[in-house]
Amino acid sequence: MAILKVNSLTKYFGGVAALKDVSFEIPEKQICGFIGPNGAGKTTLFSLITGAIRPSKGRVELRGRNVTGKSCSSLVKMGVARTHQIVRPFRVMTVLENVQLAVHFGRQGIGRTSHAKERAMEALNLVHLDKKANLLASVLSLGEQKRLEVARALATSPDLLLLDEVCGGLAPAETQAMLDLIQQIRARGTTIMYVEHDMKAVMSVCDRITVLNFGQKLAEGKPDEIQNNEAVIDAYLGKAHLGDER
Amino acid sequence: MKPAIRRLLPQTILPLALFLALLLLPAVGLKPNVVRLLFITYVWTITSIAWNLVGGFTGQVSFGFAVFYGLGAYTAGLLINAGGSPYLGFIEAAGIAALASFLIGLPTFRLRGPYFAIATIGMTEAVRVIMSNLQITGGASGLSIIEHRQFRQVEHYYSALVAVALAVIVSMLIARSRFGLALRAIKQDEDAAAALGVNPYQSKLWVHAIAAALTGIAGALHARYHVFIDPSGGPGGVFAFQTGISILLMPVIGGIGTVWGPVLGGMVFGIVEEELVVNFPNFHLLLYGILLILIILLEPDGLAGLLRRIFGLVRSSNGNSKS
Amino acid sequence: MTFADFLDPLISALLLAGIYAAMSVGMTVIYGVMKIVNLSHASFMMLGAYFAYELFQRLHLDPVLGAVAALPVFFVFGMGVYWALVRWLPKSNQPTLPSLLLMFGLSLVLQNIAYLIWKNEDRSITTSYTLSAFHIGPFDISKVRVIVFVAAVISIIVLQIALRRSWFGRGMRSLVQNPYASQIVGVDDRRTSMLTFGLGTAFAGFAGALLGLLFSFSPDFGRPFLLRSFVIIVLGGLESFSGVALGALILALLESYSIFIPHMEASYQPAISYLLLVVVLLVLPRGMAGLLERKWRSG
Repeated sequence: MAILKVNSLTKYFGGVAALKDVSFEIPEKQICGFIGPNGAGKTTLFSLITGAIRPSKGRVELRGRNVTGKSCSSLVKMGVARTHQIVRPFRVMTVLENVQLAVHFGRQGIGRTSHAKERAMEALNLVHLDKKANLLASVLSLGEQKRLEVARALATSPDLLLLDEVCGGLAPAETQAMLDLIQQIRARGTTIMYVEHDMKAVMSVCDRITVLNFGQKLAEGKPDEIQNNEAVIDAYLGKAHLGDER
Repeated sequence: MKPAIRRLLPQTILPLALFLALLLLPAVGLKPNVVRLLFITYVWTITSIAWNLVGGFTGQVSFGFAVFYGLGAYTAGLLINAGGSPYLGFIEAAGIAALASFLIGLPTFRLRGPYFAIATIGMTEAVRVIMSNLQITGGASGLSIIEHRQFRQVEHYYSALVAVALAVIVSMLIARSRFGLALRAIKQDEDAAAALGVNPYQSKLWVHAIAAALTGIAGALHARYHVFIDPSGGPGGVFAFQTGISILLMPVIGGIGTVWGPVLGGMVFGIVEEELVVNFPNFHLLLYGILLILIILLEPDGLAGLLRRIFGLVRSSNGNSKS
Repeated sequence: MTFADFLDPLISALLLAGIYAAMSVGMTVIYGVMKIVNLSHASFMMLGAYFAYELFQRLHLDPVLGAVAALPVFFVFGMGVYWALVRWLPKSNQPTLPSLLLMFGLSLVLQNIAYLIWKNEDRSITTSYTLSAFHIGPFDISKVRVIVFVAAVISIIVLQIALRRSWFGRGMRSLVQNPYASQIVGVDDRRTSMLTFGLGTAFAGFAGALLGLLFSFSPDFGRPFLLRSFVIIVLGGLESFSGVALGALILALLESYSIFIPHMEASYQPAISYLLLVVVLLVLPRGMAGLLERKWRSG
């Protein structure tokens, strides 16, 4: 059964449609990639699914339950978590506190501080930030902050994790580590929706890929199908091949 | 062992010792004037701690705490006049003030931006105007509070001291709890906090209500001691905009966002304010304004930050001399 | 009640709306460009009123000319305030605790300096035309109000045109819409902010001087107007001039017609603006949504 079902989701900003009539299903325990040129509506899609903004039209179902327009925090409690494209750590909190907050207020809502700290350390272990647990989040490097972002989202114990460009701006070695991490998270039973600009990264980890263009769904399928899809090559890959993707 | 003591010392033992000392203080035989000054200082300190919960921990600037102070004062005053126990009056004052906090919070906390801060200015104006025209509270001419008990200054002193202790405990508990962690997160990035499951709207409403309740108690203490209250009449008026200004100044002077900064600010303000108002009647607000600007631009962590910096210097220079 | 009784508040509301819009414009430009709620706006208005008052008393300068003279003086003053205080604030895309407290501290300073100079007593500017009126049909329309209205409307129109045409106006509008992108294309945001703050202050002084023609004032003058300005810019969607004009009209209409509410006293007027603010925030979240959406798109 699909964990998430999105039905003709539409969002207008002013008069412009950032997303128009997009429908798809996300099967359980898969890594589903979302690609498309800048402004294709990927981040808007994530913000709609996680309740950061409300759709103008359409419907979002989580395990068959209508969650359209639910608030961000209540969706976290139902098991939907996200990372932000531009990292948003709480700078004057320690790394541990950042994650601890997510444990306290995530799906399991763990109240005991000692228990929450333990769980937070587990999440930090997973992203190899355990040694920096007591530093202020502001002193971390960009790569570390991206990992913190993932650790925080994980610490809410999500069923569905939305990752927004977690590899953007990372060095190749860091990127590979992040991709390994993504697969590890899936192996633990978490479904992942993944937006990334780096085509190689997306193709290597995703089970399925959806292509967005000008706020509309252009194509979907397995990575090799997408690579051979004419419309996609025209709109996106073609340009990327020519320009050899930054 | 040693580090454990070091940790406990500032958090528990020192405050407890201070509390005991203040508890025993009247037994030394203080002059009524000094007891009065201490009483006023305690009342101010309660409001300072309360403001910090909203402004310091959560980052929501309020200019309107005079509303809660005044409502607390009037609630207690009317109840005492009706023959009720003043202590029951304190509790009701807290309740009424907390209810009023929702009137500001419900429409404004949902939206980000300056709405809350401005609404608190509006609320102060509106409530003062209404209280000045309301018949049952005596309108602009004020309310005399007649308590059918003998006036014992020490009783007032102790009730205020206990209320300060309560405020400090509330502040400490919040600072250490997951609620406090959520408030700090909201202060830094509301959206990011929401994305981790925190409900910013509810959190702000609750902390605002707690702060209002504490401020209401302070107003009630004020009313019972001063026997007469009026809505505006200059600095003494419980609903006066100036009262709201004072309540905001103390935590900023002391250092917002910490447990002890606002206590420090309240103590300094309470003791200095009297002298300042008497000696520089037209000058003291000017001085406060300059102080506010200087603190914001030069030492945003207030007196507490300044002290920390000085002690930090002392400590590091000690460390240097040892090595 | 005659028809004229009913129409009378409409005329006074229209005339009031002009000055309400002029005083809110200053706050709008500063908020739009810098995301600072200028809490010392009220104090600038108060100083504007005294500025016109002193020129009138000492030099017998007509207060309307005094208001015009306030424009350059307060422009320079505002830039000075920016240079001395505001530029040290940490930058942010929404109002921060330090910015609110700093502007509030400044308003305390200005207001209490005014107390030292002018003492706590009500002053008013009484010109030869203060008490005269135009008689049109059944209506007596106060001359002063008409003059103030005309001056206010002209000032807004001139500002609007100036901002359309000048490099500064373009830089300003681009900062309002997308601070990040406009810096990339070379808008000097320090200089634009400084000029904007000067402009906002100039309009506060100008509006204050005109208000001084209509109402008596003391150093405490302005706080109710600060609240009104804010209600107006919230009504108008925070950043647009036409919104400000509309907001000003709505508030002025409500205030003028509130005399028909039984038991309504003039002293309740501050409560009206507050009530309106709450109602707008509760009922018109769609109006706000436009603003929020614009944020999302640029983000």
